[in-house]
Amino acid sequence: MPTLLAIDDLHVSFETDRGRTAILHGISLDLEPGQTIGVVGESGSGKTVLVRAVLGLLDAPFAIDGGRIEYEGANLLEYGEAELERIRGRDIALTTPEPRKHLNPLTTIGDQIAKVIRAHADVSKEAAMARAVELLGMVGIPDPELRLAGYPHEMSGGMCQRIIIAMALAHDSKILLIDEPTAGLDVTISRQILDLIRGLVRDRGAAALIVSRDLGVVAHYCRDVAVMYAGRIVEQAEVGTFFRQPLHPYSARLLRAAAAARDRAVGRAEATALLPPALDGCSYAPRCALAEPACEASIPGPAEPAAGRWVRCLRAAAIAHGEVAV
Amino acid sequence: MSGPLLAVDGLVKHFPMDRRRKVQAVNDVSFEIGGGEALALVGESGSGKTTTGRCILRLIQPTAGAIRFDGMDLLAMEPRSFRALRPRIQMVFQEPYDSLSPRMRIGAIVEEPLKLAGSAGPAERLDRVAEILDLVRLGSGTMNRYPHQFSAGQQQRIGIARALATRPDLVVLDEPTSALDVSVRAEVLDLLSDLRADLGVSYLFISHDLTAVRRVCDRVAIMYLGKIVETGETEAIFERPLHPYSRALLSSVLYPDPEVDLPRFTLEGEIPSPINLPRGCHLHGRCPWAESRCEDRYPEVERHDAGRAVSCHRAREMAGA
Ligand SMILES: Nc1ncnc2c1ncn2[C@@H]1O[C@H](COP(=O)(O)OP(=O)(O)OP(=O)(O)O)[C@@H](O)[C@H]1O
Ligand SMILES: Nc1ncnc2c1ncn2[C@@H]1O[C@H](COP(=O)(O)OP(=O)(O)O)[C@@H](O)[C@H]1O
Ligand code: SF4
Ligand code: SF4
Ligand SMILES: [Mg+2]
Ligand SMILES: [Mg+2]
Repeated sequence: MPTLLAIDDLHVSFETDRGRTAILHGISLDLEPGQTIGVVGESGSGKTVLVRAVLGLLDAPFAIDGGRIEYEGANLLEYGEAELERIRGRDIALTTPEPRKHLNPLTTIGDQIAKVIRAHADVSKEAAMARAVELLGMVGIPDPELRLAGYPHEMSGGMCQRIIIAMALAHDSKILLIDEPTAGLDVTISRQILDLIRGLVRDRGAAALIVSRDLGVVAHYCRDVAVMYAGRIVEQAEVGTFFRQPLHPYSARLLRAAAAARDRAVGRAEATALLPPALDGCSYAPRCALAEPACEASIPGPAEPAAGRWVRCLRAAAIAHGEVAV
Repeated sequence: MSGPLLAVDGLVKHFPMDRRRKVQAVNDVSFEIGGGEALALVGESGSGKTTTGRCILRLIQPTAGAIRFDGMDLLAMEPRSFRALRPRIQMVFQEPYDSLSPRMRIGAIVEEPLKLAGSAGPAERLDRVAEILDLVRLGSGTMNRYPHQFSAGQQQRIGIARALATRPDLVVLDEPTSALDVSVRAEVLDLLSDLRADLGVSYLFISHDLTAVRRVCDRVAIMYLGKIVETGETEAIFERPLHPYSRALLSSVLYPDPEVDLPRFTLEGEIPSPINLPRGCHLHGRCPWAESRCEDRYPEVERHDAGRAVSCHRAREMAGA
């Protein structure tokens, strides 16, 4: 399969009054046509920063410190604003988990969607509005004609979210970067939207990166999964094998937490989730039950302890072979 | 205190659109929350959950209905007396970023309700802010940072810290976990449960996160198009939802296991809108059980055992099915 998008060793940092903080420490990820990768991980681990970096949407004080993002033979990190504008929303579409922040409070929903449509399609205002009605219908907003005249503050949280998703679907983009599509949506609407994305990927050869805190979404709608922790992908695998046997201790913990969430009988959460990551050695070490002195000495590089499984953990091979339990 | 902490009775909220039309966001909603009780409000996106919460905080004026808090008529209250009451009622907003003012530092944001409450001096307030930031595990070291320096999940915890600072009696939590990953979420849910056990605070827990609801709440109210269609004890509702919308909602949960089959009970058809509310039962166009009477008449609330109440013409008859 040819690669649609290749992210290679991406480093991003953030400047504060107290100096530079590294946020992404060398992310590599390839996306093929027809593929859907679920990106899961701790809140604050850099998922949103990652997808925004692809479209050059990180403004100062964020800085790209290195890496390549290859799309159609070019490195997007070398694109200027004009070149980025040409592909944003057309070749590569992005949704945001904070929809209200990205909608203009002073403009009607219809005008905002029409603007997105007309940015890359030479159509009349009327045609754009007709397409907007269609898009809102696709994301399950009833009475779309009437809603187009409304303003963002008149919409519920979930409706704003769906408006953002509708905009991302406007141009049959080849790459969909979907950040938290279902946070704030009820499960029935979520499923409708995920089915829609699945259809686009399957029928049009698009590819999607779905960032989601919801492992249920990943289990049922993604082919592969990438787990992020403190700015690194700590595990990448095909969904079926991942859910059967997670290999990184953090992944195992995520799956336990997700299973526990279903079950009232399960006791309290493992109370370590909110410990800050370590800066030296394996960033998960402060929380890891399997940590050994070696884990604090060096940062584990990606290794392939089993076919098709990429893991950043010194003990991954032992875990894969069942010598230690996670 | 005798009687419920919060009693919402016949709440209606319509937003006018133009001369002819209005959004009928909340249509005759009633529920009660006891001291120390957690009630979940779940339901379709746009069904009126946030609007209900905003009415309770008096952020918007209801079209009709009554809201009593600790026996007092909230809606009839002078602004002055309501302000005095505000430290006792707090809200965690659905969109965390939106509700945190970008120019204030985290410490000041969390301190603000304490200042408004006016009961503590500066030193005491600072201690309290540090304590509560530790409690939500942001750490008191974050006090001097600004909201935009945090991810959405971290901002959500700032919102929770701010709401809890005054040790309120009632917190309206609007989607408090939507930006949290599962492991952090589990801890935040434990935190909310602990606070309830320790401080006796009550929650109106608005959420699409049904597993969180199951973990935290005593009772659940399910909304569809501006009405509560079913209420009952949490476990009983999850085990045996009686209303068709509740059935569809609860059976759509995507379990984090690719080998569990996707759900069975689904609703088909156009989703109606609160601008053009359907006649009769709001669900009839999508309901697999609909009969002609469903199109004519909105079903009365029927009381079942153990505090269960359902609005459906056929729920009792289909309860065994
Ligand atoms: N200020 C407003 N002006 C006009 N209409 C509004 C306003 N606020 C809410 N509405 C409408 O009221 C209805 C209910 O909105 P509400 O925000 O209560 O939904 P919700 O149940 O919280 O949904 P979600 O789960 O998506 O957050 C929606 O149709 C919405 O468009
Ligand atoms: N504007 C900002 N200033 C400083 N730090 C930021 C900013 N935005 C995000 N961060 C930090 O970057 C990290 C990753 O954030 P983000 O990508 O939003 O996380 P998530 O994985 O939850 O999407 C977090 O530690 C967050 O605090
Ligand atoms: S490298 Fe060590 S500390 Fe890090 S996840 Fe593996 S076992 Fe745990
Ligand atoms: S009243 Fe009729 S249409 Fe409404 S939920 Fe019950 S069976 Fe379905
Ligand atoms: Mg994010
Ligand atoms: Mg809402």
